[in-house]
Amino acid sequence: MIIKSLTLKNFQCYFGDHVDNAFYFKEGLNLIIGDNASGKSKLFDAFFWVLKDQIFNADERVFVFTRNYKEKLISDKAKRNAQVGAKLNAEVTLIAESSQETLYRLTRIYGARKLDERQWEADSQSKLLVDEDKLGRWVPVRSQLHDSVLRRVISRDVEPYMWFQGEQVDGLMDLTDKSTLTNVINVLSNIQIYDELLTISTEGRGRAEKALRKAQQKVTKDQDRADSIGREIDAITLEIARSETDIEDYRASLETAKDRIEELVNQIDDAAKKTELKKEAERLRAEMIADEASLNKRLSGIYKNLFTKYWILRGSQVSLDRYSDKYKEYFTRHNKALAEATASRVRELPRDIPQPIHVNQMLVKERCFVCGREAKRESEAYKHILNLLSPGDGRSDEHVFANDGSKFFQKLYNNSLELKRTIAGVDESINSEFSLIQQYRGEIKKKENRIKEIRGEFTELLEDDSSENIVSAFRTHEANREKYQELLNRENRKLEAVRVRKIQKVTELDSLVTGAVDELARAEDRIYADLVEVIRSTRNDVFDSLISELEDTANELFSEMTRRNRAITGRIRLKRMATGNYAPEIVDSDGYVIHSTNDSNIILVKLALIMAILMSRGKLSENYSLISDAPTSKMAKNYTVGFYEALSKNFRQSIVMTYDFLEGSSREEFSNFNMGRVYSIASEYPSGDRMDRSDLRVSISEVSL
Amino acid sequence: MYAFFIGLKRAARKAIYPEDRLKTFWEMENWKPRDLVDCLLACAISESNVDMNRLEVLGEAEMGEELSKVRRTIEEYANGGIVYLLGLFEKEPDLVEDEMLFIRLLSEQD
Repeated sequence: MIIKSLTLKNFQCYFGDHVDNAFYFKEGLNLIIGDNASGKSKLFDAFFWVLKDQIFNADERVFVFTRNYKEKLISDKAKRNAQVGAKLNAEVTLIAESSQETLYRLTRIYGARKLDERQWEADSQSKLLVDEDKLGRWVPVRSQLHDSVLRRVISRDVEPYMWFQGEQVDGLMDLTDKSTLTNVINVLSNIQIYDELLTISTEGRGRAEKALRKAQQKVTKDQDRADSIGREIDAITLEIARSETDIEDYRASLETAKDRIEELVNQIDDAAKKTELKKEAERLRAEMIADEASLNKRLSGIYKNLFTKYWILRGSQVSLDRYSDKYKEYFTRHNKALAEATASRVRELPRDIPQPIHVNQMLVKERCFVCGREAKRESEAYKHILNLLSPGDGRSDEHVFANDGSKFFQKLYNNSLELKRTIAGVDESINSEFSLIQQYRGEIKKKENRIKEIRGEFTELLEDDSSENIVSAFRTHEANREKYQELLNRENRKLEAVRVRKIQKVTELDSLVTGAVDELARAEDRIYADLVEVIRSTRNDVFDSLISELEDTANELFSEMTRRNRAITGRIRLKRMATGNYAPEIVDSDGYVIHSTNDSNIILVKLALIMAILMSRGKLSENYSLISDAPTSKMAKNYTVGFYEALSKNFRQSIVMTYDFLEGSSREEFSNFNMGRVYSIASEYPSGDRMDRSDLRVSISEVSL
Repeated sequence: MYAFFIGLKRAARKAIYPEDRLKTFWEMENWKPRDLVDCLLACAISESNVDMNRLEVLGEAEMGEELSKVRRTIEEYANGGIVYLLGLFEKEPDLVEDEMLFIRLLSEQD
């Protein structure tokens, strides 16, 4: 909702009726400019009070409920002027407009009766009235719906980041805690939905796995073995969980070692050398990753080559030659047998004797005219007569050999001849692949050595600049980096092997199944397994792209805010930690973390990040009004204007109480901003005694731009 | 198939006892790629004492007996190859992690 107005009656220092203390707001940047003790913070309190029934106790620096703050809430001047026995009310009315242009009026009232000059009888609690504008008339909203209207003015999750005092900014994000940014993103984005889905689906997957196993065990042919496999699967599942935890720990330790190394390297004075070495090390690491990927690709392709490049046939040529000899011998004997069989047939009966016309008649009559015996169709005698019709050489060999294998043996012979040349080239093919693999390994080794040398050079540079302790710390962290990288690699390999073992056991359990397993259990297991993967990868994609958008937006804001003061160079980087958290840091153009940033710069980073989050997916900057009291109180000069400009451009509405622009001449800065209304406020003591709070009131005047 | 060719290269031929025999045998016509299977058969025929000409004139039962010489040769070389590999792994368990092992064994000089 957009806030249209805030009016106050006898609320703290705001003496007088609503009409005397009225602020009207528009879209854009609304400013309430005032010096110290002019009523800015009390105005900020008024926003809080009307919504939350809480008031900031400046003495104790905590928010307290009205019932505990009592008549202190009411203007001292009004209390002084009141007659004994009279009842006084403090009131704040906020009018806000929803996106459907419906106006809501929220009024909180708290009263106290004057018993004597010192004693007051305060109400036990404040009263909230909520009205909705219906065709120009204020109609009360049912009390059950009050909460929902209040939440639409400012939601509870968003409130700390959109309604804050300057001194609170530092506490909104504790950047030393690396989970802070992730937590803020979780609160202010819809990423939590994915996390919840992931939790639900992971639990579902566990249940589905168990249900399927139970269903398999019901129809197993070997109950004892199935039970034993079931126990093994349980143990493997635990082993996987432990391994995953170990991997997370190793990753975190590796990240810590890298961070420490980075911090120590930053202490080297020779910036040019440091940058040169760091760039070289980064380039080498990137090249090593690419080399390792190429090497792995070649290694994993090796077993395919056994079959696709016929490496498997290496050394088989002798046997194949032996087959060729055997085949030739066979072929000669086969043909000889064939020729003999054909010749004997020719000797028995000359070609075309008896004449084909007689042979055809024999077939029709199904009788041999030579011997007079019957030759029924499909009988051996019939086939024999039929053969007389074929030319001599074409007589089927099947009648010569019971099992003619000539075609098959010839196929094997031809195949072995065809592959002869390929087999001759196998050595060269293997050698060339080996040499490529060796080349990659050599390159990786060379780069590893150079990285070690660079580490040595860093150590030397550190030795020149720093104490022995720092050099020793550098060595320790470098050793840790190596150690945890190795542990991580080993654990990853182990996890992979354990996962394969689990698949094998699950397959074995399935092989013991004799009957039909409940199809629903199978489907559920499969669906949950897919679901977990889909949700996990979607969640990571969404989160990563959220982070990337956030980093870009925060940098745009950061550069907008620092445009007028070039004392800060560099950009915000959201660094992904091994734990999956992101930690913000300011880095220079070479990617070095700038550790010398002062508080003022940190405030800027925090504000840029908070604003970026509010502007991101949820478009909170569009739906709620940002209200802040002295947000620039900890900012260095010249950043304030940049901050207001960024606020005016990127937030639909902001209401800021500030002591900036007290000088009328500085207000020309507003000319390019998207401005709402600007008020100037000042405390007034008509009697002239500035110590007499019972004479205090606030004068409000709108500043025309 | 790999085990057969390794057995063949190493002349490692090891008989399979009846109790070790697999109850099920994956039909050879399903083996792939075909040209490699043909090579394997050619090698097995050359290394067995099967008489190719005699095969052509035998009756069904006798032919089955003669053909089993080829099948036995395949099994024996494959078995020999596996026994050879197991022996290697027993001696040097770390070889299990050597992704180049199978290629090296093939490419070692005869």
